[in-house]
Amino acid sequence: MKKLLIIFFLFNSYVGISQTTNEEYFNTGLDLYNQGKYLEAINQFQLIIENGKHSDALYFNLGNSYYKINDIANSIYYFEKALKLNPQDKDILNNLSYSQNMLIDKIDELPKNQVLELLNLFSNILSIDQWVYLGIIFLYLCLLTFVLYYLNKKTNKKKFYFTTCLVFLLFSVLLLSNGIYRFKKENNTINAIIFENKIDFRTEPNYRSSVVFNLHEGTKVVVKEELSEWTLIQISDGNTGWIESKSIKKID
Amino acid sequence: MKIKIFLLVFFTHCINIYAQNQDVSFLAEVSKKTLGVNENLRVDFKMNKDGDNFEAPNFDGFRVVGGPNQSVSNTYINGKRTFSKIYSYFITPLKTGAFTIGQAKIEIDNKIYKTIPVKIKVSKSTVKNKNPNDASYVVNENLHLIAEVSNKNPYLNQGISVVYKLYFSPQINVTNVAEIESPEFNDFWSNNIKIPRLQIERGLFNGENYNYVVWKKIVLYPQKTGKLNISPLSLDVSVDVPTNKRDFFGNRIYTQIPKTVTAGKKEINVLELPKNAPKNFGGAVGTFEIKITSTKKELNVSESLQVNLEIKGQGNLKLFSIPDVETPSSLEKYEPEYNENVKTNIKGMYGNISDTYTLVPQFKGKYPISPVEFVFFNPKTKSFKSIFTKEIIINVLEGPTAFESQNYANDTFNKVPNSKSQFKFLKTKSNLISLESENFIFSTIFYIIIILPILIVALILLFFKSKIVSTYDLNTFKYRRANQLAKKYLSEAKTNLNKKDVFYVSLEKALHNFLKSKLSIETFDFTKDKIIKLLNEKSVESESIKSFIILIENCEYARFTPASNVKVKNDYENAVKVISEIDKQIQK
Repeated sequence: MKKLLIIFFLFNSYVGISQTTNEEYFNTGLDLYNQGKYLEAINQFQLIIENGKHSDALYFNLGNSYYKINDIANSIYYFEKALKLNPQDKDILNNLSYSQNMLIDKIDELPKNQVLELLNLFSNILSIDQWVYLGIIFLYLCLLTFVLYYLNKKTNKKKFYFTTCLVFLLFSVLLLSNGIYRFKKENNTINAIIFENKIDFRTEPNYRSSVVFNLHEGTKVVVKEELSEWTLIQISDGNTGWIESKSIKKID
Repeated sequence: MKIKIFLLVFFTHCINIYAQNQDVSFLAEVSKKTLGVNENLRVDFKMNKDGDNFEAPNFDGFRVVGGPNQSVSNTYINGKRTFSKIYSYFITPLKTGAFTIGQAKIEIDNKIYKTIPVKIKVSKSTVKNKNPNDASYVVNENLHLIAEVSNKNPYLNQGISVVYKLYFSPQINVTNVAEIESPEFNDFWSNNIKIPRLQIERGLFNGENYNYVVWKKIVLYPQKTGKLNISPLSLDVSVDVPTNKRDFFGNRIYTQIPKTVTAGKKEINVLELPKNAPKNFGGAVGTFEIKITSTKKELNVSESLQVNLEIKGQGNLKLFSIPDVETPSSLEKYEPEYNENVKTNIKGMYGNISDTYTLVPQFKGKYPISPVEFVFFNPKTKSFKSIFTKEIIINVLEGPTAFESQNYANDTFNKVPNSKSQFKFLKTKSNLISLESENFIFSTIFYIIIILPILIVALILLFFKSKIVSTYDLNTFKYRRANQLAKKYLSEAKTNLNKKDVFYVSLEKALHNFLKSKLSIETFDFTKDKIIKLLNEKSVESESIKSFIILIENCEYARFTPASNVKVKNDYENAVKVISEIDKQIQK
């Protein structure tokens, strides 16, 4: 019982510390970065993640710090994480492009459908949650106008409320389905960053099989399948190959 | 005088006659009929009368090392002249076995004479003639060709050298050396080191003082593992050997002997490199250093810089390729320019090889050129060694960033990228959220938020529906129904409210149509009595029937007295009311 109490107390204090000091860590991280002490800054920022907190700003700052010490893989990894939380942020995209300059691989991307691309662009304007919130707001508006329609006695007003109700419903369905589509898509595609300097991609998940191609540190790949210690990877030109799971880090 | 001429003619004639009488002989003589492979043979073709068109036989199985030497002798003994002419050859057998020296031909006095073929037996080995006065023995003892191999068990691609030295003792003189068979180095990369001038040096051979000449120096890099053979080098040497004879002044007379010396075959056992070669091993064996240099560290977009990767050291520099420099793909890289500055000495190749890359950055930013790994095998330590270059970071100061150019590529209106965008500083607002924060979508709250309002609305609607049934229905429903009916039957009449006569015609028609649809009667049966009867049957209230009849009467009346002042509007409203009443009662 005493032990339990102690554990409880420790846990409580730990949570308490983490709540109050995360901001401090963040700020000291900023100061250290500003003084050019990038490694120490990284340590500060990592402490926050260890405390179970994150944000796009935190990942962005980590990406910046790693960029400064020329750690390509980590820098791109954290920029991508930041982008996942905030897909349209200009600063993140800008600094990510600086990191991507350091990449050795250049993979030709498969030609994309223009219409789909435009839709994707549109879909990325807001985050999933924002889309869903918007959808719910429209759903509420739709319900409100429906009630108004039902209660109104005058034909003109009824007509007006009915059409607005339908329009709101349409919007609501569109926005919600967009959110769901994005959610499904992002949950089904697991991206990863290569952390090994140079890595061979093989036809089978073993060392006996032949090498298909090789990639370098920092390149973004898509995880397709996993088998014990090996992972099947697809790159943006459509090629696939197996690599050891330890040489990549998933963006989740 | 005349007598003198006569005598001369006479004597010459006499000689001719004498000669003609002599038997012509043409013989082949050999110094020995059996000999060892390592020995020489002298063949003389002797004739006692001068001839023309001498044709030597084919010395099949032999090689001519000397000759033909011609010697002519005229001797007079007791006034008797003997003539002899000798063609002599020195030949040496090429292999063991029985050989025949074929027939030599000569034309004497327009007749062709041939020698008898001579059979020669070449035995495997001969006991050397140990007579110290024998010239060939002296040569054998004092002339040696040695091939010195620096390492008989080299690793693959490890350089070895072969030096051919011709040793000769101070007793003899070497006058002429010619290479008759050059060694072949299959499966080797070979480089002959040129010897500008043959120099006689002093050295020890088998503990004795000897002079020697370095005839040939070759550096070899084996390209295959296993046992490799070096074919021998053969030299033809003319040697002056002192004899016991002395000349008039007491100096020794030297005889010249041709001699073929061969440096025996060498077998080189090339070792395989250890199996545990690192991944990037490209076949370099030796000791090397690697260095990377760049002409600039800071530059602007579309300027260029050169990166030079140099490998320096000793080893098989010409036999491997320089590792690639890996650069970020956004740096434009051109094919490297290869430079080679390799010299070869007896220890092998040394110098440097380098690749020079021209790089042109496309965007602003930092470009690291990652360390280049170079792996080589050091045969001295018998291990692989991996060395790296330093990482170079190239800073591109001015120019568009990659992010901007991506954006502007899509934007056709403004293609001028703004070069002001810098690497952005940190974000100063933390906005921290919990790592484990669940996705809002598909969470329970999400479902509640969506479903709850729908339920509330449904409840509200249900509540209102009951109210509508009780109040709304009684007052307004009637009105609505009447409106509907009026719309259906009296729409034409309503449009004609201002034109009295047309109004009544259409009103009457409308009333008839109403009855037709409700009571299903034909126009022909259309009498007031029948209408009353039918409506009564349908249990329509008498009051309604009465007002209906009045309406019909009004219509008829208006038709026949067009000038009369009737209440058009009133009648219309009555019609609406009556129709709805009757309709309702019939429905019941």
